[in-house]
Amino acid sequence: MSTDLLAPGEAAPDFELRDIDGRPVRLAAFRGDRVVVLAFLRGFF
Amino acid sequence: MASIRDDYQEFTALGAEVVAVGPDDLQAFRRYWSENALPFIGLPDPGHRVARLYKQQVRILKWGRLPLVCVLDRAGRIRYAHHGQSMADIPPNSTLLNIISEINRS
Repeated sequence: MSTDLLAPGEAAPDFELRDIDGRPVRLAAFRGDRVVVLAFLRGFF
Repeated sequence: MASIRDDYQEFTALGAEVVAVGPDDLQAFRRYWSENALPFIGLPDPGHRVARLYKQQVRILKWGRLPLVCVLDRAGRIRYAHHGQSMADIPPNSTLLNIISEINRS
């Protein structure tokens, strides 16, 4: 396992992706409002 | 993801949102979200751009990407990061809900 993994205390890198309905979702939009559980999936297949 | 789905209301009751990023394309995401009635945000990342940004681990001998789950506080800071050691190595909802509760208390 790499020692260069993201760790608690670090700022979460911001990003924007489109959701399944094509709407842009920017991580920073949750700041000040919601705690975010950010899950990176392995893939469905 | 079905596990989080089953407790999704507990997450939202604590002021959390669930955002899932995956390597599959839009069509596969739509199908999976529909078949599993997932109520939270799904973000296809077929180019792995965000997965690389977050240093999601890839293990060829373990058949691909390993799960990564982070909890971010309202300042956008990582308060918890679980880099899975296997495909099934995903933290239980109780762990995530406890961390969110701690964030709410701090």
